[in-house]
Amino acid sequence: MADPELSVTTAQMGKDLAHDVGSTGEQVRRTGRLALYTRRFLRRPSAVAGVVVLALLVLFALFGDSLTRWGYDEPDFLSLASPPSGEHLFGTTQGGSDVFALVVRGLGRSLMIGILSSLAITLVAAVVGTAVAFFEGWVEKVGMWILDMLLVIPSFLLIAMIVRSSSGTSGWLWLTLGITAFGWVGYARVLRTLTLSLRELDYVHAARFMGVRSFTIIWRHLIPNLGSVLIIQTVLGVVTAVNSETALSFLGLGIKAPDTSLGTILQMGQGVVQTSPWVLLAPAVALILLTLSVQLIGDGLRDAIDPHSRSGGKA
Amino acid sequence: MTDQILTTTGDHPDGTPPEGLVLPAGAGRLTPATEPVLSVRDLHVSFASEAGTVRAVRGVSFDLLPARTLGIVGESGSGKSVTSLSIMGLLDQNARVEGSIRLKGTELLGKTELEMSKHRGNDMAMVFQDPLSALTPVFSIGDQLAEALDLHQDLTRKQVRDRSVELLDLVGIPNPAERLKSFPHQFSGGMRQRVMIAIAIANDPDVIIADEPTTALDVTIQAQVLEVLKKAQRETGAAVVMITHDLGVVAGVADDVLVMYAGRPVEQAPVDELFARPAMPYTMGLLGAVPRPDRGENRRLVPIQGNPPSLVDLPVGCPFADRCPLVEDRCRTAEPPLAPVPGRVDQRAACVRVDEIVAEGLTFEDVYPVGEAAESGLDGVPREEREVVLEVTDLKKHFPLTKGGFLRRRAGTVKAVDGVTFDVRAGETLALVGESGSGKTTTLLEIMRLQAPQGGTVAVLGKNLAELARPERAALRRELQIVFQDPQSSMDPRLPVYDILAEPLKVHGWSRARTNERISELMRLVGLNPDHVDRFPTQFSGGQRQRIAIARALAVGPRLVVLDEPVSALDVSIQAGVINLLEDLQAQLGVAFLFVAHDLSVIRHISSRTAVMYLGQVVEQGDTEAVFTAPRHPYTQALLSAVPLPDPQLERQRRRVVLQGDLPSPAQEIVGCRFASRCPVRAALPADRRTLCDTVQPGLATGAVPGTDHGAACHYPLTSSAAEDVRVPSRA
Repeated sequence: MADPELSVTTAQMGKDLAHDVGSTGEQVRRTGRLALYTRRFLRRPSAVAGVVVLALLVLFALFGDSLTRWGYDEPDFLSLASPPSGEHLFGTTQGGSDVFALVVRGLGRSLMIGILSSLAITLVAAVVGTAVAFFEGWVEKVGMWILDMLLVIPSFLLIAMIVRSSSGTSGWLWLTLGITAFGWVGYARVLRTLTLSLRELDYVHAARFMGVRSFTIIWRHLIPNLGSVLIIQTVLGVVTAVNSETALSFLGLGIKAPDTSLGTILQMGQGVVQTSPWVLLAPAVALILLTLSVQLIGDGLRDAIDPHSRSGGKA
Repeated sequence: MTDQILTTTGDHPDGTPPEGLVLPAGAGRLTPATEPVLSVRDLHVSFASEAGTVRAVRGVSFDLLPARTLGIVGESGSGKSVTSLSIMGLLDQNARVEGSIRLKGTELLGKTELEMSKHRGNDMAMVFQDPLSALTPVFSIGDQLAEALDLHQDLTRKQVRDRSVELLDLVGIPNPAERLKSFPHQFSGGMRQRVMIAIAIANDPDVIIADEPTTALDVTIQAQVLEVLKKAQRETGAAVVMITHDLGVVAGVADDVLVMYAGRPVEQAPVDELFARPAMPYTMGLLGAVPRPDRGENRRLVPIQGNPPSLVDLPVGCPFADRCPLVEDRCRTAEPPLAPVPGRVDQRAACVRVDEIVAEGLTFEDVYPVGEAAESGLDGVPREEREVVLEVTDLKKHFPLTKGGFLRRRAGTVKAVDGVTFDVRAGETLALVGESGSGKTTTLLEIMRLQAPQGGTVAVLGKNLAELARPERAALRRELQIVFQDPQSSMDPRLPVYDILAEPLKVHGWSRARTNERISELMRLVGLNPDHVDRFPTQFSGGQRQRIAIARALAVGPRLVVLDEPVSALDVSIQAGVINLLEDLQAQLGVAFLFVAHDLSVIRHISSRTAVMYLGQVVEQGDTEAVFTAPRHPYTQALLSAVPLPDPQLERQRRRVVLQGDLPSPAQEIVGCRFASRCPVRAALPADRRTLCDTVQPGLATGAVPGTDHGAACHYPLTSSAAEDVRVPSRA
């Protein structure tokens, strides 16, 4: 369950936290942390490509509908299952829906669900994971027990049941909620492990000995210092969330008509792949571009933030 | 230029090997000498970094003669370790190395990895700082020794085994034949460092590079390991490069010393010469800034002002100019070369004013202005009349030792703290001394938790912690604050200094306006510019960060500050400033310090009372002067005799009580005196008197010396005349 991308070892964490050993003097010429990360990020061409592709996809999802006069929910009954043409850029489905309009709408939905649930997962996982580690003692024992229990719940099935009982229009919100509700457990465990080394750092001890309240310590000291891990996790979490949304929708358990998402269109397309392959092709390409670009950005971020990576340049 | 190696020598009519370094052709009488085994010329090393190119080493040259020891001294970032790594060819890919390194006439720079590995471990070997990570945990000691031998020699299994046993025996590991099968985790830190030395000398190297070999070890173990290193050198006839920041260690082992600053050698001399008559202001400052364990008089320490320059953009001229009290305009125009000091044999210094310094015989006292200590309001008040700030009685903290994965069962008890008693009174400093594992830090954390202890009582300002209600406990936090060892990790790197200092104030409900005022007051109090509160901790140097940590501890006006090794992470020249600050703050504010340290010289300087801990117990307690000049417990005596002195002549004269063995595991059940297994006094006793040591645990008996509360937990305490014999010698 633990994401392999999160293999930031505790040793690395420690070094990352107690970074910059050789800093000297006040008059030192300092590169800001953000500027530094940006520079290291930009050294990776693949990461830059990821940003460009993702930006194009987001723009496409936001403003794509003005490039066609067809709405995703108004079928053109005069051209059913027609191949790509000037009128329908990506062709139409069996029912006459414009694939271009569908992909625009579906991409927007998938992105929305992916980003929202990834953010929510990170937030919940960060709070629970750090709190469980910070309080030690019986809180940690009970907390870990609950987390372990949650891991064995058949989440896919439960999400399907939740979404099934919802209406077509609010379905995507329920889906987001469902993905979040069962997605944070694994991350929380990873973050707990990282916090185990963080809680032994002197500034956490210092805050405790000063009498700072526990939740203030978690909010002010622990979570911000997991920052780099949280950022990477959120970005890569988008891929995971989009994938599970697509999978659910593909099986007919996620987004339902009249709403649409990439998974729903893919499901439509797989039945007619012999006769009108364009219905499958367009959403598939969009999905691949989306996950690939996010993955590239995630890799770039990890290398930019990780002090041990090869983004250091040459003398 | 280096084809013809010549040496300058002093007077050696009998033709003994010359004292001192071999220098490239220079002033003095020139005689052909023994060929140097290692000769480094104009070594330059630079690294790529985000801020620009770091010029870590800039022009190091030296020659190393067989069987001699060169000490390279310098503060962190001075380039001493980089020098050693570039000799071994162990630098990172992003480093650029220029110059020349010749081992027995063979140029090492430019060799491939494969060619280098024929030299490494064979004719040159390295002993690393951290013995914990230098050995592979999954192979036995025997395997690792065999690996070192097999790589460079063609031996049969039996030969390898015999040689391994011989090597382990040489470095003083008991039962070497059986220990070959042991794994690194079954050895203590000191023992592992011995194994490292055994591996280093396995193939009879010509050069041994020791990079801070004893920094991670306790003083008594350090003394043992340095002995082993000397013995290893005698056996192999190897030349040793000893890299260290500890001037005491250099004084004890080196024949010649190279002082480095900002990547450059700034002074080079035979050890006696360097310590007696340093010619470069930096060396003088370094020697003057160290507190001396052998001097009782409360001389104020003199810090070197400022911080070392950044190696990324070095200033034009002498890199030390900004911190040098003798600075002149010409210092800032060009960097002075390392030139022979006129009138001195074999001494070279990089300073434009060296002529004046030598001619006028300037010493540390002339060069560095000595500051005035602040007056304390409590000076005249005798100790008995002062308020008791902290009273710890019979404190116990035991940890259960569990075994098994699923069903945990108790396998034993670690008695981390077992009956510690002491008190701290207003305005005084009590030092807790002891080696690692003695329970100092556990004691501190038990006090800082402000919870009822497992055993015994802790009372802060007369309030027993066991009887406190929650609000009272919260209020008591204001009276008790802590400063940690490492200023890197004791402050949240993501908060600006203002927020760091505001944190304790916020907890105790200070208003925004008062907080603001208090923070600028605090910054001034610890000698920092109040305008810098918007900066992040990483923008300050180590010493400044420790000042911020002290300011944070003092923010709410505590009566007692607990200091956990507050200066041990700092360089000597910076350390002096922080010690002075602590002394001044105590005098001004009347705050009491509970000072935990392993560095006895710092303790002698700063504390008024000392408690020596061994295996979770206080074995000796009393006035610092009394404990240092007339130790009554044999452990205290051994501890004092193990401290290296920054004075080569005293180092040679003194007699050491070198303790046998290591600290027993705190999980071990010990009946009787806990020190008995290592005690030199017990070892000298007749068998019938030993029984007492082995069966009865001695209590801390005070009142043996009339009129004082100096006490030792020993059945046969040392009399002051016996203590006289081996105590830290001092120059009359």
